[in-house]
Amino acid sequence: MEVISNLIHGFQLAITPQALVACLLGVIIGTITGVLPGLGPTGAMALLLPLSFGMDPALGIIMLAGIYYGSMYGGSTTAILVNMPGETASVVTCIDGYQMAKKGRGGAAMAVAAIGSFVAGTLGIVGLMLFAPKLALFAVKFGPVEFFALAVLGLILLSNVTGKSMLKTMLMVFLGIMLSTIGIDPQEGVERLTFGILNLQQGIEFTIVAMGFFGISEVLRVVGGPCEKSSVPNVRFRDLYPNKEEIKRSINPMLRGGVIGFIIGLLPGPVNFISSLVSYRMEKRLSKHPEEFGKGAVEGVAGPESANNSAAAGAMVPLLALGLPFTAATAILVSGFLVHGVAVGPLLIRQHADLFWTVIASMYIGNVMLLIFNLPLVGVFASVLKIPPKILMPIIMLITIAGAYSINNSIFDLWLLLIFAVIGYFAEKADFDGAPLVVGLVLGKTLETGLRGGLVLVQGDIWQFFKRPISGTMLYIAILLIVYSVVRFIYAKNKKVNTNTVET
Amino acid sequence: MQEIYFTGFILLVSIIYTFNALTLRIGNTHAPGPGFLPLGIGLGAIIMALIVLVNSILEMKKERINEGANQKQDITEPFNAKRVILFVLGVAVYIAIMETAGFLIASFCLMFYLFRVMGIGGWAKQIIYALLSSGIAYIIFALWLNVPFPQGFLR
Repeated sequence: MEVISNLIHGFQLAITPQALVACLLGVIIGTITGVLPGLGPTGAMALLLPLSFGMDPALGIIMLAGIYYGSMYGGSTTAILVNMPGETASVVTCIDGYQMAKKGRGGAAMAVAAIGSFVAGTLGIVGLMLFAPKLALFAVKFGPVEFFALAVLGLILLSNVTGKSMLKTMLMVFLGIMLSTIGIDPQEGVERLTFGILNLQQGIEFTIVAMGFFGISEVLRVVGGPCEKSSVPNVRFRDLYPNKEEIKRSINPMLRGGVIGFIIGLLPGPVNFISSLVSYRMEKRLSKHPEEFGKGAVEGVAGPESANNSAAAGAMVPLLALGLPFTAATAILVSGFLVHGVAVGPLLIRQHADLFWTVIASMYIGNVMLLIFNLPLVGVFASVLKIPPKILMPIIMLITIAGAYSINNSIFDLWLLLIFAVIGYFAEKADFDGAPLVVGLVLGKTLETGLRGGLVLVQGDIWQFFKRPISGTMLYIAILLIVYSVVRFIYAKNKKVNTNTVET
Repeated sequence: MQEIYFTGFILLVSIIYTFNALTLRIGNTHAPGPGFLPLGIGLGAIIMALIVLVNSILEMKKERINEGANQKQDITEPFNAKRVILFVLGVAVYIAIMETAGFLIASFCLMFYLFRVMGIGGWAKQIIYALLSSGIAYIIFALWLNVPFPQGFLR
């Protein structure tokens, strides 16, 4: 009952004209971001973060959250129409969505994607609403040792699920933690690892790193490519109706995608992409027509598109309940909270109940807005693709620079932005993922505070970390994951050597 | 090859970082100092970077042998390195002159330069686009959001 009364109170605050405008702005920008290939939700949220500075805390967070889940809607449009995913979560949608479009069912595929996103997105918010307060209540008991163990487990899990090489991911995590230690030591007030640069005393702002890694480096990648505009087919409103058979075949994948997406969303890593992939594989396995997958099966659109939306809601749970962002996009949301003086952590829901429930209520409203706007305006959103990258890229560059400057009003930050953009550009070329670096940078502080505070607490007896029930469980799981990864790595190497020997 | 260069870069950064971490008070497990985590993380990064580096070199050698045997075709996508370098240089100059020239003038120059690099229309079109984009950015960030950009000559 308490949940319902809190939610009603949240709705009362979320239906004010200002909150509705912030929500609408967020979901529209999110949808456009999703449509534009290259500019992902993380980059867009980083870009728009300065816009939220002048807003009321709740309005700023509502807008940023809207961008996050709105981008999951938009990503499917280009995946279906031009076989080009707007963001990574929609890569899987290309497989059957584009095939449906080739058969003249592109409009129906987009409608199924939008409805699935709505259904699963709403399921995800229900999960978030019920789960986050309980987890936060539990996490209040956490001390520095438990937070250290949680950060370790999160980072180990992250390196296991990114899909890239585990070693490379771990290396990027280490690099992120290294960056987090630059500046004044919070416990002793000693300047460390600043190399005599005065501006580094305040540490490295992770938003700047994210903007460089995901925003500017993406601009450089597009600029270095052919820069041709896409030819987008026109979609008429009457084409948007799925037929009875398509609706019937989509219902279960949508519900399954909603559940799977939410569970995967709780884990660290690129949860939106992983959830859509897992959902696709599951639907193919459960389908009565597995042979249709890859040739335009509607389940191949309904499941993954539902899963990635639900995962966006799931990813908010560790952020709102524990104050730990496990994905790059939710890490940006931390900035959104912090600039408004709202500390993220287990006490957030208790101390800022109004803010929490307003954001939750706005997510319900945002999902309805997305459904209403996405169906009739799908053609309009797709037309964003018609703006030539030659014009768009310089403009994105200027907006990013202006946004980065506005965070601390610092020219030095712009140099950092450029440096991290160049590093991000080469990292992508070398097949290194930028997300683990950003997550490492954010969790690095929790890790260090937990480790040092924890060691003092247990008087240097490191085994106490393993003996305490919560931290011990998490650390043993982390060790098991490391052992599993090492065994898998050695097994894969041996298999490769054996295959090569047989071939020669 | 890019993988090797990039890992080599991270290795170099990790070594410099670890040497600097050694200058800090490390402490012990009873009272960890400011250098406690940096030293551990730095050493971990060096070991990790070395493993990735060795792994990449071995992979590359194998690939070269296989390529020699199979005579694979080059399937890399068209790439305009000149444009990327010109973009980075343009932004670097922009940041360097922003304090003196001010946000508005520097942004106009940057946008005009970037549109030129991208080869959009003639001079007139590039000037109009640069004026519009820098002007709108100024209105949004400086006038609407009150971001105190450097004024430069316009002070």
